[in-house]
Amino acid sequence: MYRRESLEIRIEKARQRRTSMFRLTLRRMMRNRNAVLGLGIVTTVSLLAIAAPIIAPKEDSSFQRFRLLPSPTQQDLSNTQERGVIFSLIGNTYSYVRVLVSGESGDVDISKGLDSEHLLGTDHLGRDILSRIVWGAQISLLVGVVSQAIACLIGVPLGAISGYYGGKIDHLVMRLADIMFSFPFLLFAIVMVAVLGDTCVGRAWGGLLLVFLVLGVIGWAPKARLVRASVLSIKEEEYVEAARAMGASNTRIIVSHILPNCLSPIIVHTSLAMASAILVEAALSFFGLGVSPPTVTWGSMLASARQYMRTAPHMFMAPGLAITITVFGFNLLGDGLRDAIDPRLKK
Amino acid sequence: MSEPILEVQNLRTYFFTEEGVVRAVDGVSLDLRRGETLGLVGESGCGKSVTSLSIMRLIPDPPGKIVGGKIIYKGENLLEKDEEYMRHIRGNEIAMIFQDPMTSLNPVFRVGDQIAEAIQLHQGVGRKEALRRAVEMMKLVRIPLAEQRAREYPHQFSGGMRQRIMIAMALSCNPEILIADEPSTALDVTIQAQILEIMKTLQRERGMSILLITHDLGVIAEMSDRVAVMYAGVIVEYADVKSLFKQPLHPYTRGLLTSIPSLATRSKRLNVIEGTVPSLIDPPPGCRFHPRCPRAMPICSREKPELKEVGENHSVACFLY
Amino acid sequence: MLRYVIRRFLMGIPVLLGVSVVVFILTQVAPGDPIRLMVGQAADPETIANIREKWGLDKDPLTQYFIFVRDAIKLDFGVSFRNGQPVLDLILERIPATAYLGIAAILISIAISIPLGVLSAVHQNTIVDNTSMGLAIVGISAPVYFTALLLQWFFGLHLGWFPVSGIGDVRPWEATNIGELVESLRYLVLPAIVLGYPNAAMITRLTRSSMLEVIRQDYIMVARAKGLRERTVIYRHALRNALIPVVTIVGLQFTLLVGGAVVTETIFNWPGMGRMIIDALISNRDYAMIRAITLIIAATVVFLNIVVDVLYALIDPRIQYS
Repeated sequence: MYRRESLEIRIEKARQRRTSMFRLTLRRMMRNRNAVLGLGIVTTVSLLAIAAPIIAPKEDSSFQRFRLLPSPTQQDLSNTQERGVIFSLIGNTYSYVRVLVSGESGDVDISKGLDSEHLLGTDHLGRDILSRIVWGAQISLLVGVVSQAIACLIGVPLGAISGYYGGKIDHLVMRLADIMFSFPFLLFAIVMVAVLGDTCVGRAWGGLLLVFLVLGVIGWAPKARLVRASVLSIKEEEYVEAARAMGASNTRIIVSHILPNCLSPIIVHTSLAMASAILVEAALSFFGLGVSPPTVTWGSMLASARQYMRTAPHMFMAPGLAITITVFGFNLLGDGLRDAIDPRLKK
Repeated sequence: MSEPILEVQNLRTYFFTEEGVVRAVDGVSLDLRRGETLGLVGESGCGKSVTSLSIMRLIPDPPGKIVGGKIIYKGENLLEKDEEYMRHIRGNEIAMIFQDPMTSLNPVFRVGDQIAEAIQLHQGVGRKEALRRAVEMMKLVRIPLAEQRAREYPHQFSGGMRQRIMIAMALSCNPEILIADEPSTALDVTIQAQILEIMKTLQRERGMSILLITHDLGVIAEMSDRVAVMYAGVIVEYADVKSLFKQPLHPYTRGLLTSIPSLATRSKRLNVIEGTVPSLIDPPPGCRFHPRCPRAMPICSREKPELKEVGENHSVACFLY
Repeated sequence: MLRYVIRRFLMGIPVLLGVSVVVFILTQVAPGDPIRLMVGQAADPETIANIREKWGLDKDPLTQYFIFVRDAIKLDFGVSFRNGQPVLDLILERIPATAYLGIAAILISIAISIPLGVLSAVHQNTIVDNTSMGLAIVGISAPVYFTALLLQWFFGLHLGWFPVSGIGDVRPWEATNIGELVESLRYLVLPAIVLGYPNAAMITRLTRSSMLEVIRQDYIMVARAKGLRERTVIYRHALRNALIPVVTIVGLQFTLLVGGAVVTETIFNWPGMGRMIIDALISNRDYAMIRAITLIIAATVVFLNIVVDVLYALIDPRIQYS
């Protein structure tokens, strides 16, 4: 009787330790300037992306084949004047920096420089860049989140099983992971998307499904490795033995005891991996792969801006900065999380 | 046994951190005479190591700073000297051994080279000669097959061997003072004895002074001529070793001595000193030991006791005297 | 040690096989008939069948795979679907340009990033540290194609200091006098900086964090206690230890470099392997080329990782692969 109690208590204590550690980490993260800034950037971009149909009135969403929210009605469009205030602030600083622009428009493109109506100018077809940026944010963030979700769904269980059971399964999974690691991520993505682009999967959702799948499938290996390492180290701890002694099944042990402790490195890695997923997606659309027009992505904006570099530099500045800032935000967030979890290194 | 070679007067070293000012060393005075061994004893965190680092002026700044006092070595106040002077002192006139031999040697350099480095630096000889002398030192600390082993790396040596290498490194330039910070704590008991033996021999041969820092009273008893007992950043008792053990005056010293379990007195429970070590950011007012002192008086919480000489070679900082 | 190296080589083989299988499957599954793409829609079925037979494309996939592997071991990668020339020759023609760019990029990034990382660590939390860390995070955040365009626009078009396209008429190793050499190097500057920036950023960050950890170690304090100059302590005692983990990410650097090279070469019209694979993928469906390049890249990565592990053992005397 006494013995049984002490085992239960031990498990409970371990659980409590975990939650308080979680809270501690959270507090540490809040104090970390970088993490907060990163979180701020990511949240802002996400909000912008979600709110795209409302705040980007210049473009109706008909060009967006894949829509998150319904397009605005006439009523909404007429209420948009006030929203311009925030953006004019950004726009003004932007235009100050961009004084270098010698905005003559050639006769090939009808892009206009910055003015009060189009805060970030227009592109060669007269479309408002700011709106396109905001719409493009949707794609980038979607890709980041969904592909990482897929990568986790594949990688975490694989890593957990591999680490927990060891033996042949472990060997096999690690070999597979080695194959994934032996190839540059970007190139792998490019090859897969290019080759599979014309299949029916490749055409679904305007090419988005393929991008999700490819990025997700390519991204499982680092997660699996991380989880496996955590599992290996936790496997030997006391409370796991305690749980097993109480008769918990292997699955239950893995899911409720081991996995929660692997969370922190996974979260850090996911944040950073989202950053690179966004970069890769933009690279893909830069090359004309992946998501196809008329869906707006930041990468394709950059690609079309290339020819007008001389005459309309604002065309490439906007999407480039958008990508950089968003990825920057995710990187900061990931870094901040890492520092919060392992505070030794800061001081 | 004569005039002091090192005099620490009212040393104060503080650390300025986010949580507050840590008064690690708050008015410590001691003196080290030629050829003698002064033991500095106290619990972990009482400021012993900080004292020794302050003497060498190796306190990391930020966040630490020596804010007051004097450190007189051979008549000169070290706290007023510039960095170049200190570099000449370190390793050359005052040398130091650290506690953990497993982490005190650079893992990527050969052992012989690490010893030779100090020799080359301070004695101005070429590499070959310095290496030769390094091997001599290794032989002196009784490392077998010294010539061969000088070309090996630290991870190829055991803990005890590494500590000997540390000693060889420290003594390679024949310093006047050796500061030994817990030299045997991280080692097995039998190895401990060997290390202390080596230190004693070398001290006798060279007329060197040793500042021995430890929390182990047994080591103190064996090695020291005089002892300073430190608590929470201040010295509470200061005597020659015999008097200290025969007649400990300060309640803290008494507590330390009686907490050593011995076979002679068979008691059911171990003697402890009640309470815990105070925070150095916010030390108790007055005598720092008073919250734990079994003989505390009202005055103890109001005023700080000064070190007073109450017997021959025996000073104590306590209002009981 | 030798046994370890051999074992690693042997372990690399299944990896390469795995890559070859994946790539082969991909190119088989892909829709579109490369032959038709090449000869045009108007060709008659007989010509197409002939070509198909000539290149062994009429056999079943499994046989094709075995032929592929068998030939690959002999370094015969077949002929390009696009122009019929042997793939290997085409690749060899373009490798120098890519290698040249890649080496320049790595050299530049190491030369800047290691000193910067050390400085940042030594002066932690000062302006130097914060600025370089900020620049470093930007470096890993900004996409290569953006920095490329940015630099092209600013230094190339606006200021006109450097050319923005191509490699120049004369390669540096073909130059006959200083003037030609300088002119040739001018073409290198922008692409090398663009390619090297993300790598430099990573190395700077790693050097910094590694140095920070090393500086905290006991043996550094011991070195100071010996009376050594601070400069000696940092650059001799600390750096040697701090660089060890940096060496291990060299393999990762290479994969980054390859990915970046693809983009950089495209934007700067650099005649290298990166652009070749993009062309093969996007414009031509040149499957022979794609397979060959993929395999070569994978092989190089595996090889480099082995080299890195060996290097690691050589640098850190604690590691023994016996």
